[in-house]
Amino acid sequence: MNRREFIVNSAAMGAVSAMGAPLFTSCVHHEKSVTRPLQKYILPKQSTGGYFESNFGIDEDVVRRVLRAATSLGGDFADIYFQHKISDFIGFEDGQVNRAYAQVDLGAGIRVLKGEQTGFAFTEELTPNALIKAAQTAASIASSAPVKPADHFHGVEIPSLYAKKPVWINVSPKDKIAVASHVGKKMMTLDPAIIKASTWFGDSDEAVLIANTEGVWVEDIRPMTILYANCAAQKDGRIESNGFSRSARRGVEMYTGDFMDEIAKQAVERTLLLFEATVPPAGEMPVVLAPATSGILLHEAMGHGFEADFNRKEISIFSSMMNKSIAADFVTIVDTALTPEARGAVNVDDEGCPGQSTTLVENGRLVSYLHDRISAKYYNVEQTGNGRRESFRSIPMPRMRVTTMENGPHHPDEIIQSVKKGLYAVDFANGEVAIGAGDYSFYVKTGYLIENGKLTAPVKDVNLIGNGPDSLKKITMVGNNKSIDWGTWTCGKDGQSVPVGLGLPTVKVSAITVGGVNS
Amino acid sequence: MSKDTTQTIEQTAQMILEGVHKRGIKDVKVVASQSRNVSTVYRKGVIDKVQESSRKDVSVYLYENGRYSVSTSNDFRKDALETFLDSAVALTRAMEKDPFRELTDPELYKGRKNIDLKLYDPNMESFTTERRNDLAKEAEAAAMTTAGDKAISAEASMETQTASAVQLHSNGFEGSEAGTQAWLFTEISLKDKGDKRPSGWDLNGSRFAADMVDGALTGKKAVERASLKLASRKIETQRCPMIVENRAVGRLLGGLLSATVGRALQQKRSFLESFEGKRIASDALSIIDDPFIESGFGSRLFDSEGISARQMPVIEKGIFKNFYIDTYYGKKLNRAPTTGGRSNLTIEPGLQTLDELISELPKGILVRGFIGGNTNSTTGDFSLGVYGTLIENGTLTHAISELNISGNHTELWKKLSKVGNDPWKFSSLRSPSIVFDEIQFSGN
Repeated sequence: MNRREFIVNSAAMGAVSAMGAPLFTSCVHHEKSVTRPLQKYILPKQSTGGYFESNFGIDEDVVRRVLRAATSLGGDFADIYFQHKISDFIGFEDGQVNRAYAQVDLGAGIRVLKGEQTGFAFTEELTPNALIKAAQTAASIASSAPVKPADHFHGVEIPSLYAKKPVWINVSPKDKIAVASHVGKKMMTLDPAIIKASTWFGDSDEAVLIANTEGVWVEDIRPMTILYANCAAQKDGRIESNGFSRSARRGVEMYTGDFMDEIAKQAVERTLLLFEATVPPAGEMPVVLAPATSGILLHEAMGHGFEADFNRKEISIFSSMMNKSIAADFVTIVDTALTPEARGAVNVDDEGCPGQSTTLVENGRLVSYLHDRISAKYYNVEQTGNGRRESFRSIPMPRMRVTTMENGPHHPDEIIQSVKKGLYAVDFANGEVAIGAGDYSFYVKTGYLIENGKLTAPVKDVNLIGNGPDSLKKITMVGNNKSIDWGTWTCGKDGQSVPVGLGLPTVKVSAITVGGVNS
Repeated sequence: MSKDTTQTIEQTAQMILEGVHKRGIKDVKVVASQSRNVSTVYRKGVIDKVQESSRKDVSVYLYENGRYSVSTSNDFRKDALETFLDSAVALTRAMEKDPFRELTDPELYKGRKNIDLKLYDPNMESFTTERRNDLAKEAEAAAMTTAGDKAISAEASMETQTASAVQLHSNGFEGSEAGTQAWLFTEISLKDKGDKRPSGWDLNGSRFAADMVDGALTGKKAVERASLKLASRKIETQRCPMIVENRAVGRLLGGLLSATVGRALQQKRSFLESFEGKRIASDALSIIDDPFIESGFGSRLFDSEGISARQMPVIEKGIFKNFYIDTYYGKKLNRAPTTGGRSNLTIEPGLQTLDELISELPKGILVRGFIGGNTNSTTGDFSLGVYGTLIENGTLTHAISELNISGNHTELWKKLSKVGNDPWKFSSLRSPSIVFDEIQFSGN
């Protein structure tokens, strides 16, 4: 019964149970927004050699029979989503790598659409009989003249944002253990105050095949890795803990010595900073958001509200704002699949739509929602490639990918100098939004007070709350230092979790309510 | 390509156990589970989604001279299972030796109660599609009708679930459990001033099919809940008493509970470390972990380690009594295991209704829900977004939103003054509404 829309950064969460996945490279990528009529991306289908054909005997004939069964009772459209995912998590604690968790997940979800209505079933067994039985179950939504599946399948031209092949399957446990161990041991050496250090290393190879009644046949192989470091430090009887994480769609080559040392260093520095930090005063004040991680503002305050399922149902606070000016003209917000190797990058979405970049707010004007197939048909626009799903067990819906704000006209220093008394928010743990009321919040793990235009005392553990459209209007300055965060962000919606990314230049919001304590 | 779909989870668990033994690992735990869920969602008077899912998977927990790993798979093709077990064994043997890692002490398997917790309803299997559809349809229609011209959109989902699991340990534990659940959930969005479209939800859930009768009720209640958010406004930053409504208590209590687990204690991430046997809350708070509640959503006869279930006080009249200690962290901490995970949590109810609690406050805030926020389990600092209703002179006056509360758990629960008589029954956390003396609210 999880109807919450929220996001979690596992680095800043105390609990190991909040596992998501992380990466590195401090580069910033710029994408152009493009609208892509799908027809442009049609390619001849490769006749053989696909992942699911080689490994599971899934050929055109099987898929055609399944799609025919899916549409046997009617419906406008049917698709099938095969998924095979192999993941490992390896943990370091108390000086050694002493635990590992591995998972194999296999199955296919079959969906039948009739207008806005969905029939859905999945099977974990990829035999023709099991697939057809699931298709017949999904078919129960429809009762009209059946759509005829395309006679032939065709490929789809998609980008190559990551390896597109299994990259972890042949990496030995020893190499993974070495990563977890290196970072864990490094943390212990960095400061005598460190009393505990733990790391989680995670990797996965995920193969998907999407085929539908319109003839689309497209495969993607999506690698992922995360590294999450957490430590506790003790000083004068006080204990503080904090962490740092990185995630990307990359292989073991990501883990260079420098990269691993940097993760350990960040985890330790962020923990030690907490000894100097206090809880800030309570009340409304100007908030300057540091670059990169503060993209959580876009994700919560705006991003979810722009998801088109909420808008076609008219339950988002943004559902009456299309083509209206909702922010200052220097505010441009983009959601993109095209950041190479990013945690939120996808070559193709889970409905077979090629990865692309979508401008949501252009010079202050709301120009697009985030669409899946159902909402694009509803609004009579092109799909934007935001149809994503947690797994073959779930129905796709509009989800964010990497959500960022483009550069604005202001220098970061000038932004901080403009604040007499306020908060500079640096690092975040999690956030949540109420789609209809528009109220959003995010939890600041660390930051600084701003006094007379200068950063002064560090602060910690404080929640910020505001209203999405109101905060958009209150963005009074945008820096020229856009940066993407490579942390382990996992977004939850309607019970489904998907990996996402975010980014931001330095941004000033003239007033947000800061939790905190008044003496 | 074939897998034997007729194999029971008992047979699967046994087969996997033998497969591990054949590969030379003696100490092993196997958990095989399966479940079937069917759901219908209604919107605009028609079916919006129908969904049907059956799943089955197996997990192996391998222990060899302190080396340890857990592997899970749902790929039951014969060759794939062989590869899976080979990889699981190889992964285990790659780990470093941890002297604290052992299977559960068989002594702890003893004393398992032989009672029927009434978690399984055989009638759930025959819950018909028509009935699911009718309940969801009634709920959605009731919500839209009740809301009248304020209605924007409502959704009602009706879901039934049947689940079972088998657990085998090579040192003598065998357990199996089966449970059913049915949930009807309705949410509605209402027109409000400006662009705001507040939503409210209500639900009904039970382990018994026969309890799912009145489809319309959750629809009507969802409208009541949404209406409570209309014309909400922000208020001044202030300190005042707070009532947290029963259904919302979990998010607040979760921050306290995050520090009660053995790992947090052993890893120095628990602000409760120095509170064992000491006062963490006022006399008004008693919390018991109670695995034996009939038809409870967290009820069980044994835990995930096979430890026989028993009632455990967590907080007794304000005194913190017990951490959740599993076998591994028990050994690391040199303590006897209690249990590694929660079952049901019961907060001992008081005598007054929520209305009575409200009527006693000259000024205060009724918190109906939280938005975001978090707790630092190492220090106890928390900060949470809240919404609810202002209380003036013992009466609910108007909706409030966009507020934060902040403080520290080591002080918060000492301010708890009263507990209501209205435990929320649709969760493993059975909390009544609770009243705090003075809380820092951050607003304008």
